[in-house]
Amino acid sequence: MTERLRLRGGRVHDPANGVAGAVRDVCIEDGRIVATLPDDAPVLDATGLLVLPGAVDLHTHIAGPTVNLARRLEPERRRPGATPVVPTTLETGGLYARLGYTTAFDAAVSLAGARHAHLEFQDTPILDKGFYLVLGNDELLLRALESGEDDQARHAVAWALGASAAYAVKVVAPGADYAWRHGRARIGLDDALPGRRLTPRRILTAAADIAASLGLPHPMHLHCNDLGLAGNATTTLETLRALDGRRAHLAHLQFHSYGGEPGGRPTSRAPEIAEALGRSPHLSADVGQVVFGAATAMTADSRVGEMLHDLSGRKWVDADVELMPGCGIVPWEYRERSLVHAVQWIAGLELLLLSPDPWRLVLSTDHPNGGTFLRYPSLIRLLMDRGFRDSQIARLPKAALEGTALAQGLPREYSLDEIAIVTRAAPARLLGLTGKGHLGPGADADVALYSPDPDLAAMFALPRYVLKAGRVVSHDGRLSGTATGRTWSVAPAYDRGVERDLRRMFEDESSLDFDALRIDPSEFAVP
Amino acid sequence: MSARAFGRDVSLDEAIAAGAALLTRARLPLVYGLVESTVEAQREAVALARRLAGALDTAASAAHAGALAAFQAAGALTTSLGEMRRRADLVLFWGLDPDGVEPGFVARYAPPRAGRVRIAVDVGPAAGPPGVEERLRIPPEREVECLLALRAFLRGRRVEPAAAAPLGLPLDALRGLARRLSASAYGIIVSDGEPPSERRDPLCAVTLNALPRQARERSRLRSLLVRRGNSVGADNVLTWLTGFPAAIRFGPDGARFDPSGSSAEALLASRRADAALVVGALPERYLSAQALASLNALPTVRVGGTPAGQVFISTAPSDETTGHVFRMDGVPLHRQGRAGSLPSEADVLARLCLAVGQATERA
Repeated sequence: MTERLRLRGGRVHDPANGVAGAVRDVCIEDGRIVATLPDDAPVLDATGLLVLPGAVDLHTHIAGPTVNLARRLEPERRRPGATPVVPTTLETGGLYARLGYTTAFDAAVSLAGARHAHLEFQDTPILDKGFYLVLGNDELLLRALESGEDDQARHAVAWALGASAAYAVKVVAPGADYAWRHGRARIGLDDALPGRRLTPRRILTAAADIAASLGLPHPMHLHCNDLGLAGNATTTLETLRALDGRRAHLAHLQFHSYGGEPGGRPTSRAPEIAEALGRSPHLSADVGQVVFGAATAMTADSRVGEMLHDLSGRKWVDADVELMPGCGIVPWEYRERSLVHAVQWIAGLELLLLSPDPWRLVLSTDHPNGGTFLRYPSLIRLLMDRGFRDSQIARLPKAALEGTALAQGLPREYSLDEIAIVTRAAPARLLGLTGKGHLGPGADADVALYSPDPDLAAMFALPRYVLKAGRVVSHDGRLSGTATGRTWSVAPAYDRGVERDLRRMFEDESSLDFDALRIDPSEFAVP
Repeated sequence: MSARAFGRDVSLDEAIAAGAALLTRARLPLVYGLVESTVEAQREAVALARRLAGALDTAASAAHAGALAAFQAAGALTTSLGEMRRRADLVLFWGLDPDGVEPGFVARYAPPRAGRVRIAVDVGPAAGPPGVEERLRIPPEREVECLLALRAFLRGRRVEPAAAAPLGLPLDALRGLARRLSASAYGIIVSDGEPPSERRDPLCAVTLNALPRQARERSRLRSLLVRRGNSVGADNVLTWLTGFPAAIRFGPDGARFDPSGSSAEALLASRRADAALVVGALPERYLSAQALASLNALPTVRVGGTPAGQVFISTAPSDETTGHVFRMDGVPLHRQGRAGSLPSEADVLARLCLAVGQATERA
């Protein structure tokens, strides 16, 4: 039976379709937006409500072996009544939905961990989701590139994406994790990897080319080298130059925007980075904003885990995986009175406030690395409400603010449409999800309706209604229904001949059964 | 025989109804076992325990408690089976022959090879694998002291021979072992993640877990815990669904983790659990005799495993069931089962969950 619903009379903010607050109906039929409905279609009265597309998080960490190790590591942070930093699968779907988010992509899953991520996705309700396959320090890519066989590398990547039912290529600290795992703390873009005839520059440019040549809906998703280190803005700018017109998405850019001397205290060079991003129409980024409070560092850039452990003495997990990058995990806390943490907070806001193009710099906290996604509402308020922002800036250590663009006064206030861009329309477009992030005919009927409230954080924290595929999944924060949502994946074509070489590599050097790595679509009903 | 209830053969439907009634009547039902079960059965067990507002624990929980506490206190530096096979130039087997857990383990993951040394430390009768290049024996009653001495040597500290001598510690051998570990390019310490009850000193687990961090500036040391069946899968499933890997108590405000109060051992020993659902086989090595006796005295529903309890439902063997299982290093696998006449554990648990829900609604 056809399911219909008319959202009547709301104020619609749908920037992808040029709708900026017009009062109009949104019509839904069988889970999709349609232009019209019969007059007798059921009605949800949206009069006085703000109507936005369901939000899309294109860089988060919500499923897979690394996330689950973090849950296992931190039982003390999970108390009755308190929201955990790393929620369970059941909580993740519900908490995102309560915020108006209906799509989320895990930004880092290894080939060996792909099946685990899919198992968790099965238990993550409501959300549509997918993950990016971590490459850049793995033998599949490194060996082919080292021997100059870029075609072979392309076929290997295509095989890996299809086998793991992943959505995009994620390159994490190209070559640097390999170097760290082989005893070298830091590696420059033009340094050879230990024992290999290969440089980070070669890996990142080749991976960008491969992602482009495979016609993937999302370009290479790049975690640049030197994350978190003072002075790393130089590496980031050099990386941008190395990409030389190639398409790429730069992950958690805030963590790569620091001045200062290596080993010293970072400063913010976010204005330079924002300008460079603005000049590069082929590039996009998510901000990776730090929010004060509890966080958990979890990364395939394992050097970072060791660095945070050494800085803090906190507990630390580091897991090696054969032929691939592993992961590092450290429970963390961002403190307002910490000079370094305040600089990180400032750098993120500077990026957002100086970004000339909201379609190319979108919201993220790199959950849970910069803090939990549950803090998005307060982050939105920081962007929309200068008075609130100034009150928060006044709480920071003076030394952190010295010489920063933020201290000199950045008057920009995001409009509601700009918020709709950085949380909905832009991430959907950057992901190549044509049915997400907008409310035009044919779009998925993922919709969030808000009661206007001068307290923007309160408004965004509790939508009046959230609809997923045309059905109400949250009403004033009360969840209804337990739909699982779909998992997005790609399966690019490749030369089957590559399987012979990959099979030999796995048989000779791995404990993994090459054939068993491939996830059969029927195993998880992956569409 | 496919199902029995209160001493007579019954249909599956009758057994489900009887089992649901038994569990629903209890004040604190314990859902327990799961170490041989597929992921699919494990997630159904979580849903059932949640619906019953009961307690949930895995059979391996008591044996693994020390290692889990060590992990949660300090983290861990770990590796995969493939890195052992591919990369390790030193493999240290501490008080364990993994072939006894998984036949062919050593040949598959740590075969002899040029440039690799394999060292067995025999902890009394808990011996490492035969055929290794080097072997060291330590007195089982001094395992903790030997581990502490090894840790001290790895950190470059001295251990006073005068203090160690009365304890009978093989200090020279342990110092040499520390030297070998520190000099390795990639060394792996393989130990039992689920030791028998006589070797569950928490300090052993903490010290074993700490060893790789001691030589971090000189060597890349890693640890690998040998686990059994699909206990790693159970840990994982419970964790992603509840936030905790074991010893869970469901209440109105969600799941709580209380390793000392809500573990199966504690609930059975204190007789607070007043009914149990046992899923799959219960390997004898896991539960203490006292807890086992308490369990046997409880009204019990058994799904799979050995026929016992007030209600028993026979299921297809887990290793013949289609579903997912985890290797001991955390890599999940998909297993294709065989078609058979018996229901799977997952099917039975899902039906029990449904029946419990209906019974609860009626009440």
